Amino acid sequence: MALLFYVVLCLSVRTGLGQIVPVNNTPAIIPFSLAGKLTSNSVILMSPSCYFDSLTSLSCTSATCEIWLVPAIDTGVSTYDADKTISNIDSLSPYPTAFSSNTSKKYFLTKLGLQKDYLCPIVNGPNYFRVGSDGACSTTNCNGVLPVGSTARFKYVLINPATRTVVAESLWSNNIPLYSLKDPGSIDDGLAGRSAAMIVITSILCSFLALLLLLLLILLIYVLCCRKEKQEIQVPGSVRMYDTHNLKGPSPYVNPAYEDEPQRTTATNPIRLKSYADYDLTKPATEL
Amino acid sequence: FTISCYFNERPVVGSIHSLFGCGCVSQITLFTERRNMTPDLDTKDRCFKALLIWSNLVIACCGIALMAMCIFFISDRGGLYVLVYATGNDSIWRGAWIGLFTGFALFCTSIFGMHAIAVSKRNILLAYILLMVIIYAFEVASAITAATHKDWFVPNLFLKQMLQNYNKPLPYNLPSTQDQIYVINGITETWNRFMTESKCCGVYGPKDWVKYESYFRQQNTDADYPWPRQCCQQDAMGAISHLEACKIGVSPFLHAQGCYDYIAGPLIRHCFGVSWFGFAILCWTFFVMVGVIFHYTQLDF
Repeated sequence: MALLFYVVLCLSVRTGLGQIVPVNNTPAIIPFSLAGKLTSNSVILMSPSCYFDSLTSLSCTSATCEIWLVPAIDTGVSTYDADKTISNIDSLSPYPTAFSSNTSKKYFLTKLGLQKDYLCPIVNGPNYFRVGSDGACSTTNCNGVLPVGSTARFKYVLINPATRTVVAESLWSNNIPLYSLKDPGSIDDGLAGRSAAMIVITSILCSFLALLLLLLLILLIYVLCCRKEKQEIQVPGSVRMYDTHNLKGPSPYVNPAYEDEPQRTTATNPIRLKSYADYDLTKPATEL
Repeated sequence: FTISCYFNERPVVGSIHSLFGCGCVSQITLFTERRNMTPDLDTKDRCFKALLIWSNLVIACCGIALMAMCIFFISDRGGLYVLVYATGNDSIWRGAWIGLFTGFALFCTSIFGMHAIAVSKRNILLAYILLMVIIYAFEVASAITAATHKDWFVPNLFLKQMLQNYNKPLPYNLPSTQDQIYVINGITETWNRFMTESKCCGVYGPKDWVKYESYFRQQNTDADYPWPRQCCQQDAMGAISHLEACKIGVSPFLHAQGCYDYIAGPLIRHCFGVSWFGFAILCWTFFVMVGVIFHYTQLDF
C-alpha cells in the first residue's frame, strides 16, 4: 500500500518533469537612458509582454497563469535551476531569508500579475517592472531590495497557481551589476592646480608693490639727505650766496657810480656818458 | 651785476640802459633768451601736473566702482555663503571686504591727491604718497586672496559637502555645536532651494544621490526616494507633476542637469571681479605713483 502510494507519487512527479517550456526571450534593463533605471539595490527591467503569448497547450490559460520574476545572485542561479521543478516553488525561498547568510538560496520569487495583463503589444499599463520597489520588506514573496552592490540575473517564469509549479520560463538575463555605494569621504576635492590667472596676478602685483616700496625708500632717503646739503649752501657771507638772474624778485640794479645823481633819467634828460681816466673813480670825469 | 663794455677802446662802466648805445648786444640777447626759456619749463611742468591730477581722478572713479562691486558680491543674493563656508574656503569674502574699504580709501585719498598735486607743497605730497602706498599694499592683498582661492572651486568640493551634510541629523543644541547646526541647516535649505528654483539635481546630476553613500541615502529607500523630491518637476503651487515618472527618471519630470554651474557661476564671477579689477586698478596706480614720486623730487626745496 505504501509502495503503491509511492509509485503513484513518483509517476505524478515524473509527469511534472520536462513540462517547463522555455521561451527564447532574455530579460534586460529598459533601454532608455533614465537616471533611475539602476541604483544600488533596485533595477528597472523591461516587462515580459510578448514573452509567453506564443505558447499553447499549457495547463493554465492566460487568464489564470501568473507571471513571476526570479532575481538571483551568484550561486542562486544554479540553486534555482535545481529547484525549479519542485512544486510550491514560490515558498521555497522566502525573501527575508533569501540573502541572509552564505548558505541561503540567494534567489526569491516575486509576482508581477496575470499573463493577460502582459499581452502584446502593450496598449496601456506600464511596460517596465521595478525590482526592489517594496524596500526592505518581510513577506515571503514581496518585491524586496537586492543586496547593495551585488551582481544579479533575472528570469521571468510562468506559474500555474493551481499546482504552484513553473510551466514556462524565459532565459536568464546577463549579469547586471548594481552600484556599490561609494564613501563620500573618498571623493578627491583637493586643489586641481594653480591657474595661470593666479600666477600672473600674484607675481605682477608683488613685484609692483616691491618696486613701489623701494621707490618710496629712495625718496625718503633723498628727502632726508639732500635737504641738509641744500641748507649748507645758505651760509651768509659765502661767495656763492647771491643768485644771479633773480627772476622771482627782480629789483632794479643801482649803479653806485650814479648814486649821487638825484635825477632819474628821462628822454629829455638822458644820461651822459662820462669817461674816467685810468679807471680812477675818484678823479673827476670828462663828459663824452 | 656789471657788464663791461668798450667804447673807443676804453672800457665804459654803466647801467643796462646806457649799454644800448655801446653795442654789447650779445650779452643783452643772452639775457633776453634766458627770459624766454622759463615759460617752456612752466608749460611742461603744468602739463605733467595736469596729467597727474587727471590720473588721480581716474583712480577715484575706479575706487568707487571697486567699492560698489564688492558691496554687490558681499550681499550674496544667491545665498551661496554657507555652501562655501562649509568647505572652509570663504576667504573670497574676506578679499571682497578688504576691497570694499580699499576702494573707498582710494577714492578719498586720490581726491586728496588731486589737491596735493595742485598745491605741490612737499609735506602734503609726501603724506599723500605714504597713504597711497599703504592702501596699495592692502589692495594687493585683496586681489591676491581672491585670485588664489578661486582655484579651490571644483565640483567635487561641493559634492562632498552635499553628501556629508544634506539632511544630516542635528546634534544637540549646545553652544559648541552651533557651527555644525548652522552648516547642516544651511546646506540642506540651500540645496533644497537650488534644486527647486534652478531646476537642477545634485552637483553632476541626479546619479550623485544614487552612487554615493550619504545621510539622505541611509534615510530613504532607493525605489521610493532615489533622489530628493526637490529634484522632481513641480508646478506653480509646489505640487509634484508626476511622482512615478520622477522616481524612474523620465526627463521633463526629473531635473536631469547638475547644479554646479548655478553654484560656481556666481562664485567665479565674484573672484574674477575682485581679483582682475583690483589688478587693473593697481597697475594704473603704480604708474601714477611713480609719476607723483618723480614730481615730488622735482619740487623746489
